[in-house]
Amino acid sequence: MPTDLALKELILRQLPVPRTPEDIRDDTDLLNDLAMDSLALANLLADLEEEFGVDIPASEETLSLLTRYDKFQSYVAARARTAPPEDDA
Amino acid sequence: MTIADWLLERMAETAERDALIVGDRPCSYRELLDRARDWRDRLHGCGVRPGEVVWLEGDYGPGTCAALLALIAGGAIVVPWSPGLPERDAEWMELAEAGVSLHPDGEGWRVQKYGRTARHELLRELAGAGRPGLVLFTSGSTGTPKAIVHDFGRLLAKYRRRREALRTLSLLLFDHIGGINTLLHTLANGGTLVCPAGRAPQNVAAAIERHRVELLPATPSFLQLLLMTEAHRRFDLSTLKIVTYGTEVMHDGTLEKLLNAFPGVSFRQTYGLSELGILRVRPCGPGSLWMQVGGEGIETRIVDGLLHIRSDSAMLGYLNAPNPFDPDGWFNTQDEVVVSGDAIRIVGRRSEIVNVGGLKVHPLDVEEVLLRMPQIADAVVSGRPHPLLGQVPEAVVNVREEIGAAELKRQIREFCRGKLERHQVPVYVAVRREPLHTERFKKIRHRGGLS
Repeated sequence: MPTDLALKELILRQLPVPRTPEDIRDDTDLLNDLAMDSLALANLLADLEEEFGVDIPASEETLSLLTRYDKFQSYVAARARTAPPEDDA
Repeated sequence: MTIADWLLERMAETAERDALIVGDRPCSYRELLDRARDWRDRLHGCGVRPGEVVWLEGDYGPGTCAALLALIAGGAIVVPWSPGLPERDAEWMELAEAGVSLHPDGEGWRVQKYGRTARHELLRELAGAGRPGLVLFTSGSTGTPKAIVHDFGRLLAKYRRRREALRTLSLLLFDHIGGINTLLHTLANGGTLVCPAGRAPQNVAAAIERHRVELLPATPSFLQLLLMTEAHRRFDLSTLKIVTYGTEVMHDGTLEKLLNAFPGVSFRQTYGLSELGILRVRPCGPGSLWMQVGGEGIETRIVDGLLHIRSDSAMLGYLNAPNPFDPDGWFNTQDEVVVSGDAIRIVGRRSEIVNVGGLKVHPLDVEEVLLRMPQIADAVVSGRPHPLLGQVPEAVVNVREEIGAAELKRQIREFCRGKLERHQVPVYVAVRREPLHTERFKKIRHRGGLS
């Protein structure tokens, strides 16, 4: 399961404009508050799947998870694998 | 008189010279012509008539080359086929409507007849006109291949003009338009075709050294592999004068490395398609990727950024696909080009362009940057379907030292910052141990081919 900081760093590295972990609070809307565009989102979903084994389909329903960081974190924590993958990224 | 008479007469002028060297065995022009006569008699004896579609399996051996000459002279429609390719022979043979097949069998040959008569109108037209034909298949890597029909007489015509006789290495396969071009060009000019024991870089480099090869017709993928394996450092390749490269796009960075590794060698771009034959190209300066395509019997135009060509040596059509020529005879190559004055530069196949939410990504641009990373030995970029953006770039790479894909992706993103636009940076990265090219030394760009 990723730590809170690891998950925040994974989110932050997708952003076109640099931010810090402190900019992400429990109620942060990842898409709107962090100005995450579709490319950043595509990279976020790819990295989540590859690094934590969490597959979030890019549908409207599942993307609602991104409206609050705490909701997103709980979702990832419940599904993350323990060991990192070796091959593809 | 047959369409091949001039070629056979030309070959007789250099009867004592080596036409082929297979492994270490030379075969003179005299022997090749004798074998072609034997084949003519044998084919006649087997009932092979003008207009018959004949499947010819083999590599560049004396027997295969002689059979090819005999078949052309006899007005047959030849389907050259390289052994060792996937087991699709029966299906493709039927597609070509082959009535006879010739297979190497130990020291001899096996002739098989199928009682099949060609029915397709293109084949019947050739047979009716008593003209030899050539059937080639488009690369079968993306579904069913297309069977291309050429009038062999038209293809042969371009070799009548005498050019320099060189010792040439046969890298491209016997059933590839580039391979056929190399063979005919060599034989028509009294050159020697050197056939290596294998097509791995060390085999090719060893053959160049041993037989003092002057001309190497290659592909960018093969040349990239040659640099990667450093085979050029282990063998003496100083006899090389010319290296030609075509069939796919060359990266700037690779060309630069080649120019440094082979000072004094002239690197020349070629342009050809199975549908059009190999066309003459005038490069804009040594080592330039800009060129002019043209020459006698060839016209070009750019429509919507795509290269269209009208050529005297174009195919007659496909056996299993609609006629691709417009009413005026223009063929859309699907190659996207940029233009500067009267020169063009090929940037890639339009179908290979990745569309990231409406923004175009040329795989070549991304690959060029990736290949500048010291940890990456080879890279292929393609489009991966994506529900949000339509497609996103995906890179499949060979690395020089073990590294996890996630870590490599982080390094790639870091390296690409400031060198590529955000939408050009690969969203997915996969590390592969196997080569990223086909056995024909062309990059595998479709996703299924790399999985």
